Amino acid sequence: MMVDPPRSEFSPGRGVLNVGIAALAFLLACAGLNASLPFPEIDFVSRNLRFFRQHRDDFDTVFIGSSRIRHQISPAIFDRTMRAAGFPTRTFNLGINGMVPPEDGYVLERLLSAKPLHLRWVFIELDELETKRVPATEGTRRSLYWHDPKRTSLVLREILDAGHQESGFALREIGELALPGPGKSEARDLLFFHGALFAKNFTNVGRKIDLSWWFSHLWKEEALSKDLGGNGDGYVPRSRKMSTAEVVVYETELKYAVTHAGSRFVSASTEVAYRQLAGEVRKAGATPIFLVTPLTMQIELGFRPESGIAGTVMRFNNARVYPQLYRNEARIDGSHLNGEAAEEFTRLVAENFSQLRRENRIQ
Amino acid sequence: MLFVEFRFFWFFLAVFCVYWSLRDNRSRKIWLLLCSYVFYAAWNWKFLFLLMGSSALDYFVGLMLARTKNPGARRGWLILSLCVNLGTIAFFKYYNFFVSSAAVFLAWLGLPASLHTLNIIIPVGVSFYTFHSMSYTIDVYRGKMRAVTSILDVACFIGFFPQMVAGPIVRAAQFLPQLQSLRKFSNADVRGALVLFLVGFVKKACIADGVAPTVDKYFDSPANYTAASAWLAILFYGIQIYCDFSGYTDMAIACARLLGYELTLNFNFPYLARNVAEFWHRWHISLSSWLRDYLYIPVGGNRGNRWFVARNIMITMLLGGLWHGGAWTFVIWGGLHGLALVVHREWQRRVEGRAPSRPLPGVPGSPDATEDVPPRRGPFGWLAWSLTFYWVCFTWIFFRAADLERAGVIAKSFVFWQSPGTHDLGFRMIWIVVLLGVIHQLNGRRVFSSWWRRGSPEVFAAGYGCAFAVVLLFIPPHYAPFIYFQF
Repeated sequence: MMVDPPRSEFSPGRGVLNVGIAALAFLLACAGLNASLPFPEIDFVSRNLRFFRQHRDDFDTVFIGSSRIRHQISPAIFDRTMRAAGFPTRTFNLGINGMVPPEDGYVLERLLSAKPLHLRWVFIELDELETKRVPATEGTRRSLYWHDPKRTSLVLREILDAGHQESGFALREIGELALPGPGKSEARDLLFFHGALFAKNFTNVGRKIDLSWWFSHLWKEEALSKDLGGNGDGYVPRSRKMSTAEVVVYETELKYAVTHAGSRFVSASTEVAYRQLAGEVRKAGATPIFLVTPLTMQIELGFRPESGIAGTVMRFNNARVYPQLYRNEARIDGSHLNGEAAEEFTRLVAENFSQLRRENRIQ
Repeated sequence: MLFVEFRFFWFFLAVFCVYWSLRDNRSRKIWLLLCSYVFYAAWNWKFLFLLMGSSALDYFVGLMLARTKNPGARRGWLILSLCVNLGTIAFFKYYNFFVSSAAVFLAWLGLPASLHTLNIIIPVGVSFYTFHSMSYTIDVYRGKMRAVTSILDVACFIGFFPQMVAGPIVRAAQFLPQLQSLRKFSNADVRGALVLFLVGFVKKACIADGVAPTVDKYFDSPANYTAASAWLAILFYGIQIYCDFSGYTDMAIACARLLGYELTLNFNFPYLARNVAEFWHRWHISLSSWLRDYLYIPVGGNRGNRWFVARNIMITMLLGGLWHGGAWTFVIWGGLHGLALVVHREWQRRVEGRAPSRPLPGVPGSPDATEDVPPRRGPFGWLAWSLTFYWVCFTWIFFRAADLERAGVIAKSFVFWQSPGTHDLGFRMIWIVVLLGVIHQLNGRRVFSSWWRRGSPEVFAAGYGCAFAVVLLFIPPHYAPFIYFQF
């Protein structure tokens, strides 16, 4: 029941001022809460990050990327090969299934914020910015947590830049998107989708769950995560044979990809993302190396010379140069290698890397 | 579009700014009607025609009732309105129920019939806006109000977006005069409305949606859970339905108040009731008073001997239960409440030796609405409260259960503490019930009713912004639709 309110003459100016105050207070409170809330509990991501944070000074090399890193880079083999080549390393695999740009950039920044003292090399899986909806994670916190202003602006920019070679927001494009019509409906949908996720993330919708998790685990000793694999270094090998039908599809796709092999630059927004990321890595005293895993796609991805990204790109998506990685028996699908081939791939990465270091060709 | 969604915020902001910037009442009403139809079309634009048709018909019937003096013709016009409005509800909500029930009954008689049900989508809020609509024609027929000559007013009354889809069920006599006078912003209780909206938001988004997953889990497969889990789930459902529905009502009243209109009170701390008659004076007041005026009194009301009154109560409550949806569970729910009202009436007459109180309330805001049942104090009061609350929770089983079979399993667990299941929902969550109960009790004593009126508007604005930011922390990532939208 409401008490009779005191009536006063309405002043539009004061009304607008009060709305402004309420909006400002809301935004400041959201930002304050956002900064002070514990890191959200996201499957795979949080445990692996916590593990790295606890052992941050043990590692000098980190691989970060998607399942193509998680299941294909064995830190133990990498370290052994590097040691044999005279460049000893201590490596951690921070590959997480489905983690593609710009999510990997967010996770990498969290990793660097732990200030690992001895970090020297950061291998980043090179890929285009992903703007599409991911059905597997849609509606989960995984799709939400990385939508900070930096990552969201990159994604929105990528959507707006789609089909344009030049960088920057195209006003005409924004105008077209604002107008109704079927032509841009997908882009419009994606803009709303990512915008809504950003708003949800910024306003901390449902983050009480992080507080409860944090309180309930305050005095609990965390067991070594199974997500980190048998060696506790983040590498989880996979073993599976492709079916006959899958082999046929794979071979057809590979054949097509080989005949259409070539090279191209990543999109302008992806370059912006990697420039920022490379800058962060260098600021932390480490060197970024960009890695293209043995994908079916036979395109040499790279940066424009004028992009200003100082970072070596190591590419392994060449079936002619690395036929051993493209044998049917070596793969579980078009994107992933089985455990045996993954170890071979790790050795190749380590050998190429030590070669580059010997020749002083690391940028 | 839900009141708790971001897009409603932008929608309402646009409605609010344009509404108050318009100078004359007619333009404002046109704008309100337009926005109300956009709001409704956000669910399903096809059903907009049904809403428009209902408004047009009742406007026309109202005019004809005003013009016709012949009682027979007047009755004819009223019957037309009732048939169309009730026919609409009957088709969309009850067609399948009646067909399947008839098939079961025929099979029981040994006359199996293959009757086909239809794949019918129930228009959102159809039960609410047809009740708005019918209250207009019935009141004009009874001479309680004059027919309105502007179709805009009637359409605005029936389609007013804050109360269109889930009430409160506002009477034409109460709302139409408000539409006919120019509202002044300086008369709007903005601070009160904003606080009420926030309270409604917390009830719906934080509390109701917060306990909903536990409730759903239990009611989906009650046989798997222990009796303690049944208690927890039923108590949680009591919380969920109250917070969901009264939260919606709070937000509806707040939105209307921000536009200068007063809607009727719908909830008055129902879980503090110490008998079932008092419960119905506090729960969904706009429906119970509607049922009283347009059903209970016309079928005889309190006139006649006690068996006749008991019959009237049972008819009213059974139909009130059926109003919620075409399912026997709702009918049983209404029947149980009717039974409790009859028993309470007898108790008052025989044991307490006093005149029985009215089973249903009058129109909120009207002089006869305040004739509440005097609450009991002391230990007997506590006992009365416990029994009432237990009974209300027991009846929720039938309101929520998907079918009678499951309702039977749950009722057995709740009443006899017997369940074949071994799964546990975590009875420690009972502290949530206790905490919310204490808050409900304190709020019932008006502890939180006015302190937020102190302080300058600037301080209030800053506090409001911060409070909303904190509240968002406690809402689930996905909103559940309001429970009463299905009715």
